[in-house]
Amino acid sequence: MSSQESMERKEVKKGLLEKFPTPIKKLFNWGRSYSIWPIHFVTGCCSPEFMQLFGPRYDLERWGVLPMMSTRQSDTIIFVGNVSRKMMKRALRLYEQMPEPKNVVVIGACATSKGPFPESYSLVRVKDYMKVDIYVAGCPPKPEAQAYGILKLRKKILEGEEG
Amino acid sequence: MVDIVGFVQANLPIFIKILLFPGLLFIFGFVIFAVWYQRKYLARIMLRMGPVHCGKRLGWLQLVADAMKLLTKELIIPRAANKIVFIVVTFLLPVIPAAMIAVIPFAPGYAIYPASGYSLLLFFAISTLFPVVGILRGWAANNKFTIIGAFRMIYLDIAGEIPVFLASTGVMIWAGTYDLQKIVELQRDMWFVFPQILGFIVFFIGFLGMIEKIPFDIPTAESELVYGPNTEYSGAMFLNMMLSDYANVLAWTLLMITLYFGGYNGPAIFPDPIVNGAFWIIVKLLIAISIIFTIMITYARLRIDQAIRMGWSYLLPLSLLNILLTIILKFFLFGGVA
Repeated sequence: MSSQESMERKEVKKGLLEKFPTPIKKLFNWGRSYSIWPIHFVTGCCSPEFMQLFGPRYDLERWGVLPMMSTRQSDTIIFVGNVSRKMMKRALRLYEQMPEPKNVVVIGACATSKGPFPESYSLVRVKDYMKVDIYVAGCPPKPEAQAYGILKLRKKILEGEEG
Repeated sequence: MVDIVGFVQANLPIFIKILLFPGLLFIFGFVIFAVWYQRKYLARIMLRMGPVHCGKRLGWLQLVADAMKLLTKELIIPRAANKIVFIVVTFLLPVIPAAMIAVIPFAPGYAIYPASGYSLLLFFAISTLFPVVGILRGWAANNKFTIIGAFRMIYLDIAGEIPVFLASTGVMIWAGTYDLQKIVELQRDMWFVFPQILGFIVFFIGFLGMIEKIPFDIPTAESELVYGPNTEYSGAMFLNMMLSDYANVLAWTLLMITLYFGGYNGPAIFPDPIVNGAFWIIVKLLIAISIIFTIMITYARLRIDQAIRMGWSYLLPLSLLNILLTIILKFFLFGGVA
């Protein structure tokens, strides 16, 4: 996939939300901020830490984060671990299946900046292909850090600053 | 000029029934409560908290936030889909469980449509429409997961609905009437779950298949089919699908309470029921959905062939045996009086 194509993909279609006046937009932003339904694109070894987020200790459902099965009903894609050139095609397909407005969270050093494999021929950075809202640093980031990242996304949606 | 105010005033009781209590508001309220309660209940069993921060302490605003988000999402209609059917089904599907609830009595003489003494038959007649519209929902999206899910739903509904109908035939014979109102009145002394215990077991297992919750969530099997027939629905259309699923749970649970647990009657230990109205039916509803959610979190999913074999080779003969036992018990031991 050439970088020219990826630049075109970065253009995000304006959502339904943009047409409303500010108070209603704020109300709907409140609703969206408490109901982040992610799909997770888990390809690497940050996943054991990521699994903790929906377990008893770091239960993210306290803030209404509910992992969904189908891309059609979810609104955040979470990249966990290294993404290769071939997997990126699949990831973009999932991303395009999601309805607007949607967000991207990138967890871990690999997906952020190729991490420990800077000269790899096959790894790609997620930010070259889509607009990323939140990066979580670490190799692997602790569950606390990942939960903090998703809560940062929540705050960003609440204040209408995403995208 | 049509006199709208006069028309509403003349038909006020029926408007209240349709819009407020057993009708629209009650169904919406139950669905919002049931989804929230399911999330909290399942979370507590998993030693989690469930929704907490949205709304103080209990997370009671969680479903409002979810609904608000789903309303603002983009509506995606797949290019290969049959557009008209794809959209119409989302409005048609929640209507069917609502029509099933219309025949259930909530207090003496308080049902939306008493069906002149044939309410139990009418309930089953309407309930057969649910899989018919359900297969359209899978077919219209033109996606392999939705189509497989829709066919599984048909298999499951046929395997579950026939034993359920034959089990409630036992109640019809025992009570000697098709009228749900009379069936409830006959249970004032003793709930029908005691003389009809075999029928109740068959009914309950078939009922779990009809509402498609976890031991029988074969149509929406998460690990095989992405989300079954609901896979392609996004935003507000998905909201309607959730509404129809939980309204279906409500309708079948109300039928179970009405047939076997005395409907709006209080427990038989009180000679005079404490509140003879909708109070007891709602208390029983809460207990019933708690039991359904406990079963949901306890068991694993059956395969489709296991579920069908269970329906045809065990539930069907047992329900026929129950009819035979009911006839013997009623006409030879009790002399034809329930």
